[in-house]
Amino acid sequence: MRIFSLFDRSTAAGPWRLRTSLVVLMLLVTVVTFSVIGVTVLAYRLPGILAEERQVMRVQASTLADHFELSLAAIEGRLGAIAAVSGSLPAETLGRLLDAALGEGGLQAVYLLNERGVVDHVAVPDALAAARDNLVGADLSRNPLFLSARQLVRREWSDRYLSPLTGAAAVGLSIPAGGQVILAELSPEFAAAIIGVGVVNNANPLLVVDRGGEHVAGRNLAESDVLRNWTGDLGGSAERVGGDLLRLSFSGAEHDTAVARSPRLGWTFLAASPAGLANPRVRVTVGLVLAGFIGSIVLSLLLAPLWAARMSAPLQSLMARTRSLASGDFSGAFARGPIHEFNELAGDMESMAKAVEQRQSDLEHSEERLMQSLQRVQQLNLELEERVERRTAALARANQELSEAMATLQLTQTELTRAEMLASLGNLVGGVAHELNTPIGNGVMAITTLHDQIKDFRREMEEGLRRSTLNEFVDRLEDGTEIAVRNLQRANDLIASFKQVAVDQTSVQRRRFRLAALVHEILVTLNPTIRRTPFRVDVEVPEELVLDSYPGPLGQVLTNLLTNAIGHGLEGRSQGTIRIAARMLDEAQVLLEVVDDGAGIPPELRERIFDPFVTSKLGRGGTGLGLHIVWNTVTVVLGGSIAVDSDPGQGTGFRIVLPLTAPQQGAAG
Amino acid sequence: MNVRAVMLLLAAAFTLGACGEREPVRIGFLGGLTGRAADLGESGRNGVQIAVDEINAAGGIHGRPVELIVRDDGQDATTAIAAANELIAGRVQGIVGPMTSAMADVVVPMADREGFVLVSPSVTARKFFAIDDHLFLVMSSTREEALLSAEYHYRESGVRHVVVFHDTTNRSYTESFLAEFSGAFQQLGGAVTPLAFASAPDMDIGKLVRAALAKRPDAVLLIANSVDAARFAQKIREVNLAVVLFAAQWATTDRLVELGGKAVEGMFLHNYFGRDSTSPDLTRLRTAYIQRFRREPGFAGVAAYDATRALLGALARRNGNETLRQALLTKGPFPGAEAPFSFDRFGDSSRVPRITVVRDGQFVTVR
Repeated sequence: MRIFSLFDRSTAAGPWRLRTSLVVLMLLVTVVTFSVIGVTVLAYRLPGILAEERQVMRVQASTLADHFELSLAAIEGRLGAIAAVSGSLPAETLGRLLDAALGEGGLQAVYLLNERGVVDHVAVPDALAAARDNLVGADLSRNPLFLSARQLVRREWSDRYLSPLTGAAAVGLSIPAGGQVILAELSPEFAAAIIGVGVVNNANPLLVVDRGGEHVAGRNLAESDVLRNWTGDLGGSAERVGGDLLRLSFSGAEHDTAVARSPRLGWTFLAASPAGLANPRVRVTVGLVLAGFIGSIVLSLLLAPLWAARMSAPLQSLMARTRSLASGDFSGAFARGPIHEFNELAGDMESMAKAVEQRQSDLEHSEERLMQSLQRVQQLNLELEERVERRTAALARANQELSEAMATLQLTQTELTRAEMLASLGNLVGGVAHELNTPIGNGVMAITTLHDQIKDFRREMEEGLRRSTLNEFVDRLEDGTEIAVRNLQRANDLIASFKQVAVDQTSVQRRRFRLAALVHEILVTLNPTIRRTPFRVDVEVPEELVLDSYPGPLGQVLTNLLTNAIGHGLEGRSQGTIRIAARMLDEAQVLLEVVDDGAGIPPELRERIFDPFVTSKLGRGGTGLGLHIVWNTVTVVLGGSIAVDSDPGQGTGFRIVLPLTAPQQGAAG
Repeated sequence: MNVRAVMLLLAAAFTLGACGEREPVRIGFLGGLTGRAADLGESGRNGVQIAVDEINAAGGIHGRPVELIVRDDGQDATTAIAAANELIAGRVQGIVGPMTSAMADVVVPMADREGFVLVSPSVTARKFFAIDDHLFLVMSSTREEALLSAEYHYRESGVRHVVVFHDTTNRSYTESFLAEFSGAFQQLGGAVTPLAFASAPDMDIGKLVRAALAKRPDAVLLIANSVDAARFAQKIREVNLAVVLFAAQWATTDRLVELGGKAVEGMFLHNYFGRDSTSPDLTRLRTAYIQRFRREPGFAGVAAYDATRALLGALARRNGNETLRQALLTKGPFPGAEAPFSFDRFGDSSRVPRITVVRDGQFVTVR
């Protein structure tokens, strides 16, 4: 129902006060109720009223017509009787009869016209007696009534015409009387009187209209209705209402009009009653309904606020209490009133108030504890901050130291690497020198001996040369040069080997080489060192293994491993074996093993053995870099991998996997 | 809202009458509809009614129907003022009327004061001409009529001495005519004897007639209404059949014949249109008038018709901010029954007066 959507819209726009809503609701209920009832009543009653009115009017109109006909017939009869006997009466008697007829009332003049239309006698009221002279002998031959009486030879009531007597409008009757004509003029008062007969005291217009549409007589008419011509309205252009009724305008207002006709008189009789709201009965009914409507609205406007106030009073006190509750005031009770729901609400509110109060005090306690904890936390926080600061400072210092140590270490590492290189180089040079020493020494010795022998020979030559001395000399020369050649050759070979190794070691030349040849060259280089030990080196490297790689670095790797085996693994032993083996692992990789049966590496060292600075001989000449360099070289330069397999007492085996073709690179380690 | 919907329902249930018609254009008619000169007023009203019905049948003025409010002046000053006030209160745009100069005396000053327009079909007193006022005149003045009359009767009828009966109850008109006629007739060389009378139902006509005839006139001029003129004619003819009878326009209505009978045969009258005119509009008007009102329109009916056509024509033709008076002065010519006509700057018009004579109860134009 649309009433409720009213409230929906109100909440959309903004909430209404309860009182306002209640008042509006009551008003609406009143209005709707009364409207429905009012409309129903009116819809039922009004047509009834109008139908009654119309019926009354029809009756009035026809009654009016009847009255007129009767009254005029009476006059007609009166005069007709006289006319009937006019032929046989002397003029004077006729005149007196006519005077008498006038005296009966209803007429304002009676004329007796002769055949020529001249007035022979006229009966007039005494008041107008002076006019008699003017009229007697008057020629009324052109009077329409006279003319019609002559032509039609029958009684005829005229339309409105000008009275010869008064010059004013009048209604006339002409009656043929033998050769004469009796002309009678109806007095206006008489017409008015006829209309007044039997008409109940009401204000409805009544109108009698002649054939020309002119007013003959009427009642309750406005002047303009009297003066105007009605042919237009009655000639068919008026609205038809309720069947036979016309809608005509009287005094400017619309009226439902009943129409009756008198064929004898030729006149039209109208009885009208105001249409619609102008009708007094309709107005009264509508007025009552409206009054009731307005009254009930007024009443509800008066009562509704009172009732609304009464209803919302407990709500107001409830709201007040709630508000004080919201601001923390838990005291006070919730008042009870006449409305059950509000009372329940009050009770619930009280319980809620208690619960809230309880909650409140609990909260306060927790708050206190919380405050304390908070303070404690803050305290701790401060301490923590201090500690952190201290630690941070310490860490910073440590960090600083570490950084310095790191720098130092890096420097050391570089130094060590250089030292190692120098050392290995030194070793290499030492080895070379040592190795070369022997052959060259031998050679020098042989040549020196030979030089001395030459000297002896020369002396002997001077004494005299014998074939036996010459053969001896030549034999010694041959022996001596043979020793020299042999040793120099050997020195040459050594230098070639060393050159190869040096070239290989100091350059990063990449080339194809036989692994076996490299191994052999390295062994040659290390021979001085190996010779002094009781150890044996077995080589199992296939001759056909060819690598496209960096022989220098690989040689260094081998050198290191062998040195390690001698220096660490087999140190202090009376015998031992180092095996160098190689085989194809797959078509692109080769496996190279250097295994000794020495002391082995302790487990804790084994994991870190490739890390820099890991050695069991720190302080005793071990730099801890050898294996690191090995690892670097194998993985970075040669593109392979190295692993160690060792247990204390079981010996140590280094397994190197190398690609046959080393990866391209720029620099070597 | 529910309330308003219900209110509307109520309102709808109550309105039984038609509503929503266009506001009508109201014009008023002021004339003597009761009393002795009622025939003039009645013809006037009928002429106006026919013009109004014609215009309404053609759709009204710019679609608005024309409403006629009729008021009677009763040939009495007080009644005339009251009637004019009622018409103003009825918010009429303009008034056709009054019909007689006596009433014009009373109503014209009111019109000038209140600013409403009067278009009179039959006021002809000289004093109302050539004046810049709110009165518009459709006929020529008494001067033209009197001049014609004087000349005609002097020359054609050979009249040298005229007794003039003039009605003091319509002084403005009768004395105007008398003055004009006397002036003209005397200038021609005739003699005029004026005899005043006051129109009343019981006046002693016989005595007046005897007094007049004692002067042995060649002609008797009746400046009176039709009723009185008829009675005078009757009384005169009772004793004298030779004297020439003629009357001013005021008496020229059907009633004269009705009431005068044979006595008015051969009486000279005035008219402003020829009854035998062949104008189709005039014929149409006469036919409609006779059909509706069962008598001839007479000069009053035709003049009233013309006056109404002018008034309604000006209402239809005027611009938004023009007054009716301005429109009447400038928006002519207006369609008249006999011929179109317009108003000069004083609101006067002119027509050709004619002399008619009564023959067999009909008016026949002789000049």
